Amino acid sequence: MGSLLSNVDTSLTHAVSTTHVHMANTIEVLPTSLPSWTQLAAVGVGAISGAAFAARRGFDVVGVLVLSVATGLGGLLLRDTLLQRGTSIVLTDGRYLIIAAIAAVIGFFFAGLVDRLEPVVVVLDALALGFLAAAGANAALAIQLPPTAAVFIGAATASGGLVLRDLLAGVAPGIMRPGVLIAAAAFIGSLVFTVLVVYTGVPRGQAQVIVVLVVFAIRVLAVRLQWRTRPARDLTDRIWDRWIKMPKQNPLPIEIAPEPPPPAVSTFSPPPDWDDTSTFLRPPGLRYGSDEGGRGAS
Amino acid sequence: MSTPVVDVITFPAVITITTVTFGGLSGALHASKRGLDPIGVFTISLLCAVGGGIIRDVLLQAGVPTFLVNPQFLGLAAVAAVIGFFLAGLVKLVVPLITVVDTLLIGSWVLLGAEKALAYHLGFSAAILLGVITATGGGLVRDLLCGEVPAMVKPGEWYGFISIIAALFFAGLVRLGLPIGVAEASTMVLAALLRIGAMRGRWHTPTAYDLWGNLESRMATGVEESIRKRDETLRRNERVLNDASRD
Repeated sequence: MGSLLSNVDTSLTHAVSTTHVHMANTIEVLPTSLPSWTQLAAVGVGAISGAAFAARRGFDVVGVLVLSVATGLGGLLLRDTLLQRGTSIVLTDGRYLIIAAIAAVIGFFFAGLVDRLEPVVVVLDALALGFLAAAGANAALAIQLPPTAAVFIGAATASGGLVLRDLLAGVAPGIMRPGVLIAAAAFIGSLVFTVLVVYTGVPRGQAQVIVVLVVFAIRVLAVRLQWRTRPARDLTDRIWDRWIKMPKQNPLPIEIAPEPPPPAVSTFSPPPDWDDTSTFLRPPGLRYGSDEGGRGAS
Repeated sequence: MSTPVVDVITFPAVITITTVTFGGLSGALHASKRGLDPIGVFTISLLCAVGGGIIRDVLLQAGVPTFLVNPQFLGLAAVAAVIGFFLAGLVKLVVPLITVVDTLLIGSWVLLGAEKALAYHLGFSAAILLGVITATGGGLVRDLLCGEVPAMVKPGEWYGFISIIAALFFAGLVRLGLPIGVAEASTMVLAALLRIGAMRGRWHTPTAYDLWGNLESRMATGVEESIRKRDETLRRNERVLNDASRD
């Protein structure tokens, strides 16, 4: 930690935090941080969608507020909790909570409007997903975690808010069910960011822009082309049949006997209620009354 | 309490890896049975493998959780997820093996938590708590994310209960000053024996026993009984008196 803080680029730190003072141990002050407005915007978008989710389910004021804050800030809280570098950014920087609260108010009073503007919300959500994936992976790389861990942290940051929202609403997290590509898009974005930064040396700002574009493209294509993730498929039998079990080889071609003609079947079949005139005379499928009464004893 | 009881974590790495691998496999099978998508299967697999450890490390506030520092855990979870996703039939064939290994390793989950607490100069109560949390946390998070009531809090299998007993036992042995290896081995043996006994004997964890309600109802029936007996006696006496007066 000391070695990390010793080479803090002071000019960049001032550029990032002009309006407020950061604690020395938050992630934001690391020299590799991305512009903070991206995280703030992502939090706002997530919070609005969380508030609309809560309002749609008929939650009360506190419910809308809690779900809005959880959806907006959950991912960053999860990231900072896992990375264990002091107090989370959402607590040390007051703007995050204010933005989430404003989003809750919007969601509370204009849930119908948010629902009607669904295409806009999808677009904004896609952008926020990319920003959060980049922010998570970047923070993990900044404290010199291995690249695989950075990929994981990025995906968890982007999708943590949705998981927390579903848990608080008392439903199984939909992000892990077969359906629209959200977590997968976040995972790919996080992977792209990590690969770009670690292996190709692209500056983090540019990598973030690329990641946002990639995630946005995946999300929009997934919506347009209706890509859906699939549940688990058991390939054991297929693999066994194709590669492991030796195929039986016939040494001589066996003459296949021609199929015997099908036995003559009488085309007459009595109606099901043969002895019941009340149903027999009616066209099939038109039965009156319930099953009891009117039927034959058979 | 200020002197460290365990200087370094002496737990063999082989057992750690085995524990985590089988946790991940069982989690992947659990998730693929519930029809989750690939990300879901991986998440559940990872959380079954290292979920308890994550909670432990966050509670200990001792740096980044282990699974992020050693990416081998992420790799193990990914392999387990792929196997569970595509080869669920193969994993189902080895369910007895998983059960046996799970049985043998329940103690090592507890030790993974308790030893780390002791290594970070925490007391024995913290060791017990962290041991239980490490052993049960993975399953807890798994059930929460699958949208179910955690199996830990439902009456049924002895799992959390065994981990509590094992954690208490381990802390007691270390407190008595036994060598750490002896304490580890005997805790694992005890936990495995308890688990085998619970599975073979079909022991069920007890639900809440309403002691006060039971006492109350017993007292109530006692009072009723006494009132009934008193009434009966009075009636009989009355009858006797009536008969006497008639005569």
